[in-house]
Amino acid sequence: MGSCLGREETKPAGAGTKAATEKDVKSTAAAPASSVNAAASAARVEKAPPPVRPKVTVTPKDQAVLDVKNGRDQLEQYRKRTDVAIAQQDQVARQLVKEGKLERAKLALEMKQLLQTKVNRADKQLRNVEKLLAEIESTALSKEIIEGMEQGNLVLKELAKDLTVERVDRLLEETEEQAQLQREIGDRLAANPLSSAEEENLERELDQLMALNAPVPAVANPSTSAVKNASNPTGEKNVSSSMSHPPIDGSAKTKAPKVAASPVPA
Amino acid sequence: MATSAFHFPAFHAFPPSYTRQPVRATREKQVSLWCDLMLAFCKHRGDFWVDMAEITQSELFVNAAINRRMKGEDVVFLFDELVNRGDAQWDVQGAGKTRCLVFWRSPAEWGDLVYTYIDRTGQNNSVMTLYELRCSDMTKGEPFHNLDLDLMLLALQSLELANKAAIFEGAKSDQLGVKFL
Repeated sequence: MGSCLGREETKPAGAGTKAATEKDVKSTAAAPASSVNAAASAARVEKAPPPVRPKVTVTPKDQAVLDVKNGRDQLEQYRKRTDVAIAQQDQVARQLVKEGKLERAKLALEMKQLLQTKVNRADKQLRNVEKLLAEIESTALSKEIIEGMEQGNLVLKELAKDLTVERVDRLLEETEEQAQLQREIGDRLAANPLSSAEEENLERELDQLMALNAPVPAVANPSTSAVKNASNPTGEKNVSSSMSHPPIDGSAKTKAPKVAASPVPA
Repeated sequence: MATSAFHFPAFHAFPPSYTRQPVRATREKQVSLWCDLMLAFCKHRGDFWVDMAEITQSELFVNAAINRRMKGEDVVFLFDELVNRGDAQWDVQGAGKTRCLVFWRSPAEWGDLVYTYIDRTGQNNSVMTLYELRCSDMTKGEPFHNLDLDLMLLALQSLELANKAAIFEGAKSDQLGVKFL
């Protein structure tokens, strides 16, 4: 920036305005510079946190590969420039033939041939180098994969160490026991909690209820409605008393179907 | 030449553009217009390095139609401004300000282009020579094919800062290589 100001002085300008322009230039030159710096540092501060990614490591193998690749580059460059030289010699030979200078044309062709054999040799070398590089790459890859698999195998072994057959058997046994227990509990819960006597009573009561309901389809018959009405209260009474007096219930049960059944044939 | 197809903006045919404006605000505007034009012009020509003597005589700074030309010292002043903007870099090896490396794409942008190519072609973790990256048939058709060596180095350095690449020397040769993450 200093030299920039120096040039400013050489610029033709009125003596009065010179100082002013110089001052101006100083501030204009400084302002963009500082703002650029500020922007750059701001960007750096913003960008600073994300690169937590590891640094790229360069191994001796990488360096060796680089050396081989550099050799390849040189061969390629050699081939390129020799190709150019061949084309030049060819051009020269053509021109000389046109001019009738056959001896010199022959020399040019000779030179071209010599270069051609060199290019062919370089091509072969190039192919060998490429082969070597491909070999290095695939071998390095195999090595990496094998190392990875070894690591994986170690982890697998570590994981399997505690996994014995006995442990699995024991686990399965325990699970089976637990399942058995669960089944029993389920059975118990599902088992009928009533005694057989109670069961009989319930059955009887159910029959009774069914008997009371049976006449309903026959309601259409007017002659039976009176009988039904008359029997209904007694039936109801029977049902309500059935809880406390099962024997009475039993007599009612035998009576009721008869009363109910009789209207149907009539 | 493709150069003739370059379309110059209106201010290029405006005579006062070729004299440094005394009023500060006007001059700032003038400088900014010229800097943008210089970048566009170099991009159009595909120039990475700009030679001051050459560019001063080019149609960028000589407008025969209005009989105006930029003085050599003003051309250098403009390139100084471009450098201050971060869009160019003087040749540190050369003596004085005779050559300027112009960033119509910033080194970071070039780096991104290279890294995108590496990603796309699955060449992560592999070693490449700079020649291979710049000049081999493999990168033919990539925007960075035949990229200037200095600019390529700057681009790779920006990738290195982001831990996406490492630049190193071979065991036997001093030719540089690069390894991408």
